[in-house]
Amino acid sequence: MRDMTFRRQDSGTDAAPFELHVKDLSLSAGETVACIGPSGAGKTTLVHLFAGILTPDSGEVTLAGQRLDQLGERERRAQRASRVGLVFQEFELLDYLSALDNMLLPIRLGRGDLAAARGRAHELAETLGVKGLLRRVPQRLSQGERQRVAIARALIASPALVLCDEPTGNLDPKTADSVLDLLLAQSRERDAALLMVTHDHSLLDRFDRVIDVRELGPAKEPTP
Amino acid sequence: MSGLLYLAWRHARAHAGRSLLLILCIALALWVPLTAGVLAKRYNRDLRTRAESTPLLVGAPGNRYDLTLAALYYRPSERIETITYRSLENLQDEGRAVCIPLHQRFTARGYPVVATSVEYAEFRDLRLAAGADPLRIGTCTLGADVAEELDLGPGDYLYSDPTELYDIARPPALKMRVAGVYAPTSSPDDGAVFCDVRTAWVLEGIAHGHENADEIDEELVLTKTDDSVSISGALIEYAEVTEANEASFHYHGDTSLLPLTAVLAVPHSAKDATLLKSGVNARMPLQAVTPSSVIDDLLGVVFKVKAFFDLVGVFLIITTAALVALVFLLSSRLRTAEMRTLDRIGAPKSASRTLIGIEVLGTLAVAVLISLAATAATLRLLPDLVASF
Repeated sequence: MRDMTFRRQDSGTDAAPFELHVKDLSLSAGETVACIGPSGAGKTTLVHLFAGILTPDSGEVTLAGQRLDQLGERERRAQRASRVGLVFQEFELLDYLSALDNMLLPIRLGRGDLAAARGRAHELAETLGVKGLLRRVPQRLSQGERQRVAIARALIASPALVLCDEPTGNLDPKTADSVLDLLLAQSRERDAALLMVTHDHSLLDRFDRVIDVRELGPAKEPTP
Repeated sequence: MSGLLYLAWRHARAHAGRSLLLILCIALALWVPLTAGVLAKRYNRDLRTRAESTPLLVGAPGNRYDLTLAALYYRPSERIETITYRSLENLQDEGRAVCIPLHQRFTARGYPVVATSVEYAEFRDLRLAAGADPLRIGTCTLGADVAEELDLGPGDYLYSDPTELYDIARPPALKMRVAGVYAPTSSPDDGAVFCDVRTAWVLEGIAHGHENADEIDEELVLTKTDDSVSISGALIEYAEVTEANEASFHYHGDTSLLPLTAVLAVPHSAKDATLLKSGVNARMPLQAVTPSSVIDDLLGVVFKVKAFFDLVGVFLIITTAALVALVFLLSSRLRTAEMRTLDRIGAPKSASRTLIGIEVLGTLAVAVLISLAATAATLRLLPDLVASF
């Protein structure tokens, strides 16, 4: 992400527009990066820009050599489905699908090989400790199990980038710890870059790098 | 697309109760007008076909609908007056038509007994599936449904229904031998018992058989002259016509006055039909009707009522469609979070709409299939309406 600017004016308000500037932010393969910052500073916006859910007003957003900011809506979605894994605070599993079907969702919606993905899903389920729960629907899973299934869904397409928006926010400390362990281990093992938004500063030491979203923009002129 | 199909299927399965209820509501809303429409169409076609195949009916003056419905569809009517056999002879004497007698005032185990002549079977193209036509007095040939429902065949016996159980002056039930069974025709003929018109007169009590007056117990002879014998009512008449007693069956009085309920006239030409009809209506104490005109009049009234029910059906479908649309609209609102998730993980932009569309179309398709199957089953299970008219 280079010289990127994103602006958004909430309609119906006179408040100053929200702006996010990123001078230069790169994540290398297998690198784990934590993103911190106060609420409203633009952490989630940053995740959405990396995922191609939002497009910048100016600047570059590049994912695995592909300029997302120059792609059309359809291509950005295709890139997202195949190269980006997303993990959300609320898990966002589909309640009418089994754990296995939730894991396979990106493949079903994209153009991946379903049979091969099924094999990967079983491997991931074993690694993440949810192998015996694959036929269960989310309502019959604990919070920690749901987040593991969500992680498996994010990793199923072997993405180049895993984006996590406060994935441990709804978990108790012990479960949060184990979920983070799994995320970090899986990202490193699969050589995927990991960007995780978190408010939990006790977890930061475990990342390769920590960025503050407020410090991504160009250096401000010191006020006299 | 296959992924979205799978999601739609899983969603429908996970909410099976809701899906089933929706499908049944739509299927019901479609089934009612669909079945009514098909039945009305078939009813119309069958009624018209039979009416159009019957050129002319002659009967006693009175209600032409009663005359037509009784003669064509064997609908029982107490209001039909009889005409005499002489009427038939008079019509025949005009030489303009083949005249077939019809007598239909009795039933056998609930089925109408249609007394006629062998020409009737030829005219209606009744083909024998087994046995023979009812050529002999006291025999009958069964329509296909009667034979199947009563499990009767040639050589079996069928009793007529006594008209007055406690009136000893009336003849008892006649034990009729089944001479044959007609092949199915999908017409009212399948539900009728056919016999010779002379058998009907036995059922009327006008013709009867008993021991020879010269051979019976003298105590039963009330008076005796050179040319007549009065016999006591205590003499038991035969309740079955057999080869041995067939010759003893006889009429008293003028045979030309024996009753018929109608005459089916098959004119030799259109001109003969016109002349015969106008002649009968002008000169004779009878009425001649063209069944197709009578049925057209009747159906004109029936189909005015049907048009109203068609309108009700349309409103029913519109109401159901509106309710179904509301259900899907509310459902899609409840699924906003799900759609957002699909959007975020890279589903095509149209995925949400396509998913809802697949569910709507799938629900409609299953409902339509169910309503079609239910309509087909209804049509199969319902008794033949024209036959039971």
